Amino acid sequence: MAPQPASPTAREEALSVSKMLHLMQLELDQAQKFDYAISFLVVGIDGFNVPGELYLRKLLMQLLFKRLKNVTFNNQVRGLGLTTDHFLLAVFPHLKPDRVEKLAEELMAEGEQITHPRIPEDRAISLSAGISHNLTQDEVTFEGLLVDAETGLSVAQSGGGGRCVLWKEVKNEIDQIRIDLEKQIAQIEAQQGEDNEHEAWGRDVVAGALSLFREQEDPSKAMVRMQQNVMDFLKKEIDRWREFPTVQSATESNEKIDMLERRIRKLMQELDRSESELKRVAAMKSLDNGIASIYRTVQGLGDDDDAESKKEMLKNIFDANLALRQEAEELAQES
Amino acid sequence: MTKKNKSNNSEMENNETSQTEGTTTETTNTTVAEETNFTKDQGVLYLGIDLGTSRTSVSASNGVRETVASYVGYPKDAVSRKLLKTDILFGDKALENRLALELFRPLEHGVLKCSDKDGSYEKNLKAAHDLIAEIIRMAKPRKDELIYSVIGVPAQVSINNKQAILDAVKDSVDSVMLCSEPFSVAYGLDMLDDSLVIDIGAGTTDLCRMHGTMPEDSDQVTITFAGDWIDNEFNRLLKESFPEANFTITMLKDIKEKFASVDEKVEPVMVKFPVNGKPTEFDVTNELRQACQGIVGPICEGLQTLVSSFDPEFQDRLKNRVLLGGGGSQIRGLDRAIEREMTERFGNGKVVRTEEPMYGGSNGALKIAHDMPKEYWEKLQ
Repeated sequence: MAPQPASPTAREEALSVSKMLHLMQLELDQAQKFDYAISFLVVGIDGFNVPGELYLRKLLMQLLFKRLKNVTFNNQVRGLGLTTDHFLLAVFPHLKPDRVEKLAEELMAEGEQITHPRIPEDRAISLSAGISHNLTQDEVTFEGLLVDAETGLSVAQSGGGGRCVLWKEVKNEIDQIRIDLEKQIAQIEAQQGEDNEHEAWGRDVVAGALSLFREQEDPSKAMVRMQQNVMDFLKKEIDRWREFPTVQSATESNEKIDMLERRIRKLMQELDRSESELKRVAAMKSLDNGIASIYRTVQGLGDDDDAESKKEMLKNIFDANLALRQEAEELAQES
Repeated sequence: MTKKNKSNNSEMENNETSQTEGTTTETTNTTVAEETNFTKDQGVLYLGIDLGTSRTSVSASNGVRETVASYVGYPKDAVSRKLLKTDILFGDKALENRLALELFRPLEHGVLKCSDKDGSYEKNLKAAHDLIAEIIRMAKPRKDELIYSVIGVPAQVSINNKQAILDAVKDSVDSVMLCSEPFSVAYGLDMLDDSLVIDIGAGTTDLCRMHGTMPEDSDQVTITFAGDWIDNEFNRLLKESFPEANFTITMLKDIKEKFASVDEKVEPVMVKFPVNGKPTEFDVTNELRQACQGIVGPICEGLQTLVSSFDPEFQDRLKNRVLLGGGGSQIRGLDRAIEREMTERFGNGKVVRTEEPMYGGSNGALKIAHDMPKEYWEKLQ
């Protein structure tokens, strides 16, 4: 779309939303085909959500669209735009997101200056914007870019409004913060595991907070920051509480008791080991069966060639021993 | 032999000791054993024991073969008993801790040192008793087997000494016989006919003439030129050559067991002795060789006695079947030195060394025990 004066033309009014969306799709296809940047801008009005103010929002949207034309004209940029009841969508081919962000900021500044007789004077107007682009490694589709820009808008509005969010960058940042928070939560949980009975209340408080955080699905950076701040606060309170003298002495006593219990356990283990070793040695004394002989019965001489001569020798040995016994008995009787 | 009851009594003593440590099961088991009249009917264990001055060896029919130095030590006082954590030590362990022990060598000169009947008689007998019990324990006998043992003793030991040996062993075995050491060596090697056995021990060297029958007294010669004599001679020579050196008989025994040789051409034997506290190296090759060579002459004189009194028709055969055994047979070149000496004296000679000097006597005693008829064992129980 070539830079146009603020007043609508018949041609623009004739273009329906669907046709505009179709043109935007074609622009995206071209940008993907020829590999150049294209950015989506979604601008919304903060507040004006109650049923009594919906008509005011529609009015403001129309006024905002005119301001968008002025901004694009003044900056000599070309784009396609449409308004709905909820937001304003603009697609800027050949424009990188940082440039679009500046446009958005300019638009938001002008939007805050909008006045209308039906808008109360004390009612401040605040705008929020979400930006998406095709300069990522992810797969790019029209619907995807639109959703990203809308997500950016909702993140900006849930964060208080009056801000512009490049959703992809913020998402990465939020992911990192969430990872850091998970680590912090894990550390706190591990630390809580070591606390003694007296710190049960602290543990319960932290556990309650953690469970609440986990239930929270709001991915906004502000919410994540808030969660982090709460954890820091709780941690500081617990540490401060630990410094109280009464608690400290109780903690010291508990530590001493733990140490004594550990020593007792160790001594008991040593005692058990000594007792089992004593039993083992005592059992060995009576249960050492020895090694069995290879002979079940008395053997005697075999049928060797020299068995006869050996038999005679063995008898001589026996006779000598028998005589020795008899002499010993006689000597014992004499003494 | 009523070993069964005596062994149960000794078990009771052990159980009382163990009961003070908190166990009661052994007492219960022993009581049950006595009541059921425990019998040994699960086999026969043969033991061949060589009671040597320096080493005591056992060969058993369960495959066990063990040897232990013939030292027994008892802690001198309560402190050494606590330090050593035992009431008795044997062998090399007793030697290592001898400063804390009352040390006994109950088999000096091949017989039990208990014939003097003085205050040491009971102690030596107890040491001999404990040593024999230990060597039998090392054979790992089963309680349900009969133990029949043959013990080799020096050829010319007196009757008193033989009785002392029987007294020492009777509590540990069911039946025991004594036999001549050199005879048991020859029996183990089946060299029972026209052979000469030289058994060089620590206390005595026994020479025994085998001629197919039981050796008589005239077939056996015992001389005291043996391992201990070499140690003393080595000691004397070293003191003459190196009066400044400090050493003990035990140190010299170790050197002898490592380097003993009668050969002229050997590697120098360099050892360190302290001189005024400073380790100093000495070349003791000549002294050691001279000490070892000192037994060759007496051995050959003993051989000459046995050969010359033998049937002349078989003297040549006897001279060519000389068997050298015992711990002293490990002296390098001793077999050749005896051969040379025999050639000079008798014109010829052939000496063969036993393959297992440590167990030659106990292996032969085991074989005798195995071959002994059943009725002989039963009559001597």
